[in-house]
Amino acid sequence: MTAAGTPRRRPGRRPGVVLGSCLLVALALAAFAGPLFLPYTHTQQDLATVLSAPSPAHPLGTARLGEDVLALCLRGLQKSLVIGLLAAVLTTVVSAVVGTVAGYLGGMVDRVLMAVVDVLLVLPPILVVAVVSPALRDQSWLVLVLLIAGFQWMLTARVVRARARSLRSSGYVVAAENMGASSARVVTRHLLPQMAPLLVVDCTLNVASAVLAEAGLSYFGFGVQAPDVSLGTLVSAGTGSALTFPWVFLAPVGFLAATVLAAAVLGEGLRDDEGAR
Amino acid sequence: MSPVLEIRDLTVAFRGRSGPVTAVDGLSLTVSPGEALALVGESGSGKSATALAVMGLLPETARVRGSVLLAGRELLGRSDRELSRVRGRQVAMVHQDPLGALTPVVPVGAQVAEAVSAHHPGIGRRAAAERAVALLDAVGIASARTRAAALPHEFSGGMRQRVAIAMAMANDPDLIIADEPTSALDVTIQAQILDLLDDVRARTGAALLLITHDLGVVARSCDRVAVLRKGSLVEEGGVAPLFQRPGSDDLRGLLSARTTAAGPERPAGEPVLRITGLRRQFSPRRGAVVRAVDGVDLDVRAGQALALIGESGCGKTTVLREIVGLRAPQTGTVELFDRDVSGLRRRERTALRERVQMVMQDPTSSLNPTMAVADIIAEPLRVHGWPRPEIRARTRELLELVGLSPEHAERRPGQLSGGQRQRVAIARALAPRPRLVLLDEPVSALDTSLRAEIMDLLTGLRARFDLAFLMVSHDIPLTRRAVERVAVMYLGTIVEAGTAADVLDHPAHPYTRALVAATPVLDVQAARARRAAVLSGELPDPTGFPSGCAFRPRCPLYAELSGVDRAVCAEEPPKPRQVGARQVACHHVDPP
Amino acid sequence: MLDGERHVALSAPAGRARLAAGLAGRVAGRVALCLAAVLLTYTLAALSFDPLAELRSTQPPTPQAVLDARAAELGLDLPVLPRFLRWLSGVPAGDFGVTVDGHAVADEVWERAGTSLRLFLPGSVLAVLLGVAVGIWGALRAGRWADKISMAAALVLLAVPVFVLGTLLKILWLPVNEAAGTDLLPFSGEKTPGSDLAGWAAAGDRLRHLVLPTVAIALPQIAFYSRYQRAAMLEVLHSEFLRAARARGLTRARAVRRHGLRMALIPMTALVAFSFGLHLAGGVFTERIFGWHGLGDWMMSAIEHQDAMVVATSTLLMAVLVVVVGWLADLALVLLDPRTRS
Repeated sequence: MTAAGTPRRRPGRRPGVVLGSCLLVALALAAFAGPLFLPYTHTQQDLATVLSAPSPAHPLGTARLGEDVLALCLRGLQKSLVIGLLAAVLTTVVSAVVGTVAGYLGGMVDRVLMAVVDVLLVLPPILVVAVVSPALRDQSWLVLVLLIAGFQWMLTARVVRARARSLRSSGYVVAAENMGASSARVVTRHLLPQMAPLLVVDCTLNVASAVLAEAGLSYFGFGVQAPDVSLGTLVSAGTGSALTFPWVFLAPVGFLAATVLAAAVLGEGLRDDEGAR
Repeated sequence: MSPVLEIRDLTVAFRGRSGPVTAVDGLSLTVSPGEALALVGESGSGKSATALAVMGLLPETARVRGSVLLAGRELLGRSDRELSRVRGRQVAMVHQDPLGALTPVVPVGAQVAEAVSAHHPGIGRRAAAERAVALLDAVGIASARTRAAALPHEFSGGMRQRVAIAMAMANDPDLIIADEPTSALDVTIQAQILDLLDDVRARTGAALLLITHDLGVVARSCDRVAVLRKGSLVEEGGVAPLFQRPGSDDLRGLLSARTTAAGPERPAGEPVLRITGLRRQFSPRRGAVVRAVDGVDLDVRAGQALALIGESGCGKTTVLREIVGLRAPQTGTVELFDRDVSGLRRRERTALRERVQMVMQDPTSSLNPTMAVADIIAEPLRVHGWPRPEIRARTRELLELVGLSPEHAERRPGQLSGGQRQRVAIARALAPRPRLVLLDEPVSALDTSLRAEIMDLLTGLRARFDLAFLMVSHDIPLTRRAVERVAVMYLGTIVEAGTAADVLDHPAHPYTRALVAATPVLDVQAARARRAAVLSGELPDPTGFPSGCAFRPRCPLYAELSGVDRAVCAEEPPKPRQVGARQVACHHVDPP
Repeated sequence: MLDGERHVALSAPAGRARLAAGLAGRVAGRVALCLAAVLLTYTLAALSFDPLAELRSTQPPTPQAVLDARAAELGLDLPVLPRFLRWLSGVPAGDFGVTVDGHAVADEVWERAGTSLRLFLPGSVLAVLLGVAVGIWGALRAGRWADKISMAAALVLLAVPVFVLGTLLKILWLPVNEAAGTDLLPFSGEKTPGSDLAGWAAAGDRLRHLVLPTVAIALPQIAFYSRYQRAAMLEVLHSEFLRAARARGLTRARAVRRHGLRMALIPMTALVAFSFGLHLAGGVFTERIFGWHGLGDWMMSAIEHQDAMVVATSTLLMAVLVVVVGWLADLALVLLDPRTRS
């Protein structure tokens, strides 16, 4: 009853993939090209219109010093996107390396690496990063990227390891070993190509978690530092007046949720595509 | 008599990605009371979909039309509740995969009891459990009362299938549907299960709808046969007349795949492989030792083919793995081309790998699905550093050798049929011009009608390139037609070795005799006459070593021996002895 | 290969002994993990904190002798590992060290821990139960609108950070409180400060304070667990054994109840065990937003004040909670899956 040779559907036909990628592209365009079309920069203060509600002049209202909320949000979105993407790529690279090495080599290496994973999973990574943050107060935001990646790779690494382990005993890996192929060849020719779709999926989902992690850290003041703004710092700044001047809070929240949702929807769509094969 | 099952114009379609896929297409069939009807066909011919349609267990997305009458009552279109009163009571099912069909976390006894209580709501827990024990006992599960508390994974495949049959017979059904009930089992166990099914039918008077691709099973157990192709009935009739004069190419193809031809006779050349005293032990858990290979001697000469046969778990695949690793074995020696592998340096080992290649069982898993066929075939050449132009020429040549066309080169394995995939695997093995090819059940993952074709391809290539083969197999008829020499393994040792004609046509060791007798044959008379010779029991727990002869607990000869003769079996492990032209490891087989 | 599955059934007492040994082994492993995680956090804190920064930056400069004395008081003259071990050796006796401003950590820790538990446990227990229920319900209705909507809602909920969710709940609830003219569901704290309520009235007051934070803690976890539970249940619904159970006469509903549910719950035990630590972050955020002075709130202020002992103590208690939950998950696994007993 096996249906032989079901045609493979190209990725991109699933609604999630289309929706997620369109939304991400739109957000990225808005973040990087949008500010060019705005009459205000995000630092421009207008003390005459402090904390004013959305109006034609300021579509998302103004903040405490009269800054345009839309300009602030787009600027914050830039930083959040860059941090999220970089951290996700780094996370994926680390987890691909750790997972493949642990899964393919097995034995002692595997046990040590997995013990590290388990230890790092006991506590919320965000708290651990927060603990380190006082020492990094004056460092560049790139350090933040490193930290997010450094404490976010464990789950993907586990998944990659599990896949590598099952591939290790698969027929074609055994066949390659039997013909004398080196470990390096087996990993690069057989394991990684098989795992590429999985890694793409996880990388996309990691963008979502990295954006969330950045926002969480910045919210507590442990992430992006002034004068830089990110969605996290904006949400944090807006929380105090969320009940009185909701737009300063809701606007960055909307951008944040849209970004995370776009990445998550895209990732899930790609995963379904992967699973269907 | 009115039929117990009548299928009229049944059509089953599944929702595919590009429109509906028709699995069963206007099928009509009847099964009379007490009758055994076989439903045969290649995979994808709609056999299983038919069975599930009768049971009303198709996925909800399936579209079903036509009519299924069970004892005159229409089943299609009924609610789940109504059908649940029919399932397990009037019609019962035995599934293909006995492990998958049992809930892993529920004791087997409780699952059997459930088959009882589902149709006798008032029976009470204790009475249902008692009945379950009685049923388990009836299907031949020893110490059924204690074993009823065991979980499915603690049972062997054969035992699990017995549990499934116990459930099927729990409510004296009118019809039992068995979907490939033995295809996951060894021939010896298959024979036991088929006998058990016969026995259950005799006791309950149930009719049998047996789905299979193995015509030997049909010849042994069925009255009539229906041949399916692409969801439609191709032909139907009594087993004996149809097997004599098949009316369709489908049946003819299936039949020819099973015919036994005498194997090739080729002169033997210089020694290629010599194994002496090979042992390999594993520790599956602390304190337990499995002697997977327990003292094996073998030799294979250039141009010659040797088959290792035996039940799964006898250690035959472990022997292949020990050879292909090219490492020093735990005990014993492996010599290839007169060189002991234990003394090899890394460079020498790599060089030697070119001359020893392997074809694995399942081409679906042994070929990387992301690589193009040409890259797959070229991989061993790249590993061994062949120059690029030569690789290209060799790849083209190999495609032709295994009967593929140049346009296959760019395809992925997923775009090929099972037979084509195994051809690719063979091409890959032959690529670096090996002298010795190790074959691990090279056709057992293929459809029956393809097996002979691939086996003949291998035989042809062997003759053409003077290759030596060491093949692991459990398909005796195919082995018979492909090799000159056979070695029979039981629990890690070789019990009989000799020419294929001697060992398989006139087996001497009681185990070989039982193995040959359990092999399904197409001749209906012969198939039924063989039932008496079914081997009882299964391979014992591999961590326990019986003293003396390991085969003793199952040996039909031992059962007939006198006390003095038995003592020898119990105390002394039999050493291989020359009996005529063959070696036999049994104390009580005499030279002819 | 050898069929490694032919174990002889274990006799019952031997099985029970092995079960106990297995569970004990898992506890040991989890305790080791817990200590390793605390050591890691402590080391990071000790390396990145500078508790003397404030003293050093005073005008006029604090004399070096005072700085040294303060450093000795805080144990800063020792290398990190001995300092950690010294701190750890006091823990069994209830001595958790001193805060940077000189109070004993032990004075405050239990009240903080109690607050955290009262906040975090109800929400999490609720979330596991509801997540499982929603996931199973969705799987049984897979593809229908109700399922699609609940899955989309879960995705959206997971995209909203917890610290936003709490504030959003406040914004949404504000009109209700205003309409009622009183704080039906208060936004801040564990109870109304300074009130002299007693008995049921006090309990009611605490309960009203608990509602919104519990929703904030539970919603993302419900979304998280329900997605996994749905996938696990779907896999079971397509399984051969469920079909076989129906083939012997069980209705679909009964087969799902008696065979499917248990199998679908098995993978959830591992999920709860390893994701519980991740969800603690939600608790920390929620404490801050709703003004509960629990461990998470304490830890965050401790990071701001560069107080390593408080960080270590709150980390230790959180890790202990993770270990206990992990062990409970192991226990649930053993109860659900008899295969783990042999």
